[in-house]
Amino acid sequence: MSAVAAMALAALLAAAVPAVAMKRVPGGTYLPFYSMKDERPIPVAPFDLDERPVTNAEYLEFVRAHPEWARSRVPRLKADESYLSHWAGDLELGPAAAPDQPVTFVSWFAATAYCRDLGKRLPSEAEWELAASSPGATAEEKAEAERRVLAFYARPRGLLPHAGGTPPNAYGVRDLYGVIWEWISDWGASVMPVDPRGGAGGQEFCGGAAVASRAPESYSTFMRFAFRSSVEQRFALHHLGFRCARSAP
Amino acid sequence: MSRSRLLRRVVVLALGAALVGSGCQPREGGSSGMSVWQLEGRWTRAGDGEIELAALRGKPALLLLFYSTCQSICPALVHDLQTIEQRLPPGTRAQLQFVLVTIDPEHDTVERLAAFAREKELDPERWTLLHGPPNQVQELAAAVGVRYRATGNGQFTHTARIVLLDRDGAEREHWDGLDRPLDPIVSAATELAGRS
Repeated sequence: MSAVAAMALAALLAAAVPAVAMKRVPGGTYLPFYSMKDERPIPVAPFDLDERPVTNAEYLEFVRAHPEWARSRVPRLKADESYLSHWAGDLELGPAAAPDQPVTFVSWFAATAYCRDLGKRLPSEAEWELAASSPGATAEEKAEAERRVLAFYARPRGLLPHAGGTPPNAYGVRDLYGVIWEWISDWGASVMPVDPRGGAGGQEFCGGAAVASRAPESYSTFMRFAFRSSVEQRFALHHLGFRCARSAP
Repeated sequence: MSRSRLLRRVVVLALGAALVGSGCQPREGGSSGMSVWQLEGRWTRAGDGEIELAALRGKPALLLLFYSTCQSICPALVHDLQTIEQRLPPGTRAQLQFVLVTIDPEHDTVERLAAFAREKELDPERWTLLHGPPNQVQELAAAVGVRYRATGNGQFTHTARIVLLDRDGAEREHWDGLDRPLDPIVSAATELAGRS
């Protein structure tokens, strides 16, 4: 296939993907999973959240418009060598990256730039966790959701499903669980609560103790917290993607 | 510095020397792609005016993310940097810059930072105190591996890290915590300044 034809086809595929809908999440408060000393529940203002994660096709459009984010050109400060490594080329998705799958192998810097380009931003930890908190669900529904989440976290599937394929939650938002991990704006705020004056670096953050500190059904929250604290923002990983948010007007 | 870390540094230096010797240019995404000064956005330099980080290229830097109302570790870290400054050979001192970036831009206004600099007698010839919007602070912190979180009482928990950047702004080395000797930092900074 000629390069021109390939580009035309890619453009066609991208154009076939409708712009992502955003769902309104009403405000509330979020109590961080592992509260620091004196840390209070965080008030969350109403915001809009993408209904599903950003797809390969959408991200390709972004790279096309902003070539500095192409695989061969991105500065190493902003994305490690795994960045878009599953794509066939700078502007070619190829067989390992279906257009409607969530884009992964993108760094936090890239996700931040993508959302900014659309006049949006990444959701904060408080916003993401609030949106994912299954309001109104019964205890059994929450327990069932928790089982599915843990099953995914324990063994992510090799092949990503298409974005938007899971049932919507109470806010109409899909794929928060069970598809990919997602970047949040304040990723670097996932600090293991260790006195920085000590040199021990994280050893005091024990999973068992942490779970005992709150209800056991929040174990998946603990896993997200631990994951965030161990992944640097320039990393590009197989099951790590993102979606965008916007403050409600 | 541990022995393995020292060894790694020696290897890196040797590798760097080999590259310079062979006339190898840093390619895109190479060492120049690691400059933290490439991050976009406008900052305000306390006591001066608006700048972009690119303006800080040219001299090696010791960089610290801090906040002025910190009651525990930041005062010690700033004091450490001042001690390092004093221990530098006089000829080297002018070849280095000290950059402090507030992680609490809401309370650390530009005026507050300027007052802090006067209070600590930080020489404006060498010291730059930066104030920027929260999203830019997040990006800069991410670029040098500093994590921080407001703890709800006006205080933050954060990585206690001094970062040494080369003249392009690429990280060469960093030191975490407070219980570490300052001489290795002085030596590393002196060596880097001497080669620029």
